[in-house]
Amino acid sequence: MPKILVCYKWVLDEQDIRINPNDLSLDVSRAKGKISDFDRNAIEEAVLLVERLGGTVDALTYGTPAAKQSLKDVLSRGPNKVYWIQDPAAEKADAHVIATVLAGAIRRIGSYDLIICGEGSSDSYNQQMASRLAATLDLPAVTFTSQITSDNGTLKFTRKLDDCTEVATVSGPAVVSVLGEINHPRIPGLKQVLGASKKPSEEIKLADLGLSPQELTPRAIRKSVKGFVMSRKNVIFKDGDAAHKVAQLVASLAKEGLS
Amino acid sequence: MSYLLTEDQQLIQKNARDFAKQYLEPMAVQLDKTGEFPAEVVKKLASHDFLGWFLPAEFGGAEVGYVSYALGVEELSRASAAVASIVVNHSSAAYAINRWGTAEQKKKYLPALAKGEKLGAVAMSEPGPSVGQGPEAVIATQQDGGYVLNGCKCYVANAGVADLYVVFGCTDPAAGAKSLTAFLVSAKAAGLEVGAKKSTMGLRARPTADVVFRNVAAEVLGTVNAGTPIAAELLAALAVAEAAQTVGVVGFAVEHAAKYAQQRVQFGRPISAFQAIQTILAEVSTNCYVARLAVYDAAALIEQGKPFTTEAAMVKLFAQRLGINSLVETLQIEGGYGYSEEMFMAKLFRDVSGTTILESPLEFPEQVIAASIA
Repeated sequence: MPKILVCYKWVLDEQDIRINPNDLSLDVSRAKGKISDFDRNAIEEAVLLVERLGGTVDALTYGTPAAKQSLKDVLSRGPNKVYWIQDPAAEKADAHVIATVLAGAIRRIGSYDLIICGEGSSDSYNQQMASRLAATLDLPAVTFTSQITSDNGTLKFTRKLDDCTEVATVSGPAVVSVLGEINHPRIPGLKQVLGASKKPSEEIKLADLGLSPQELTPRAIRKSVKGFVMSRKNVIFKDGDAAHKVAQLVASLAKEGLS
Repeated sequence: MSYLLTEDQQLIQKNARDFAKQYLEPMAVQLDKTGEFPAEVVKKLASHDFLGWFLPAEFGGAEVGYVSYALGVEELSRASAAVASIVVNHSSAAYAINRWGTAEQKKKYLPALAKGEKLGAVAMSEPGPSVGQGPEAVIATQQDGGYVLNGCKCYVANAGVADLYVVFGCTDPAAGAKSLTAFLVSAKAAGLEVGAKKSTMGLRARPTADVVFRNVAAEVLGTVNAGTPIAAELLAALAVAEAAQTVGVVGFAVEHAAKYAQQRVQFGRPISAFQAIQTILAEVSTNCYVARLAVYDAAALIEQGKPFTTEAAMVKLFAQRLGINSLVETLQIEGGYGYSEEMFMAKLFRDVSGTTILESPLEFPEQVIAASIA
């Protein structure tokens, strides 16, 4: 019966983010938080595994104090307990810092048979977390997983790669990242939302992880984030007959690289 | 509006919105075209506890309270007011039993209603001029230690798919409203006949039909001849839920129109840059925001067990004015595009009137409000 840990991130909902047309800066003042999309797949996959095989699912997150809003949401999706580490500096944390903090927390919480992450987060989409966690914890990593099955107690992971699929088995604990196509996360019912209040959540203090300032210093600095706005060409083909206009349109599209 | 909502309520609101987006939005236009009862969607609603919102946990309900219920109704209505209306009318019947039923009636009926194994409906309107009047008035006669009903109820929502009806009938036509009594009637009862499904202007996927009673066995809900205050409170609770529907429809309509206005370019600019369009969007959004606050205030009163009929009437009155006027304005923004039956706006336009005029005449709210203050 596996003991599973899911790592997730609380991110801003991109639908609420507005782009300032003057300088393409992002206005996030009205953006609500959400569990990162592929992390929802990770949570769902963990819960599905436990429904099939028995065992337990815990969840873990590292984020700003706003991440506290995620706890009931996560618990309503099936995990038995959630651990969280809050740190205002998490906003600027890179993949190195996040993986270091999560690994530190995992060492403190205890061992797991499987640690599952989403393929990448909805905001930065670095796709590094599973690999970094595995390296830090000295565990094998199985990334880009599109299916997890069980065969006589052995878990089989189907990995979707650029030009093929690969089936892997792992003996012993492993870190896994899952693709969005692995499942359709169920929407929690009302009773699951209410039931979340009865499940435990535990805050782990960053200071208790014994990490050095250097380990908590991002190695990648995000200098600025700009929005992308598709602007209209506002080109009107009005000269000549229909055939001539069509030819002009085709030529224009070809020039843009569309063929 | 978030500051008024608890964490649980915000999560419930979000989940209801996700449900509506995933299950209702893709089929809403098609459901509206065919008028087909969405049986599979109703099962999904049940599996998410969306048919037992405020019912006690001891009967299998979610016991989340009326505010959460109103939040959920608003979110479902954004995608399909018809499906939300099925939920609202079912929940109305459940509300009546939970509120006025005996311990035995609650134990007998609420678990199946809470889990969505059975659907409920409320039959109130009659073709006649007033309560107990006219040849088709529903009259309750004592027989064999119980009651039988004879008459006709018209425009019954969920008729034909409901398993249980809450029906209002008079025990003494001469006494009129003073003898009004609430009853529970099984859909399988001998002598109950559901008429042909009516083709309605909007809310098409929600079945509406007349129900005829010919010596149909019925059990009293509440007390004999105490049906008028029951009907008044039931209508008031229903008014709040329907106002939540109106807010959902209008909220979606104004967002839809705003997105369109940003994309539609005329004279070199998006039409959202024109003052006339901005005025419409501002007024509709503001009215919707105010209506939403009023709905949740009234819902909170219901949840707290406080008197709420005056507030419910105010909410109904405001929603009636908000609904139709807002859709006229937002349809104006979308023009020919919105007028097309393939687009959402046409459906919203037809649905919104169903959320404001059904179950009580337009004059009802003013009478209740005026009576409470003068």
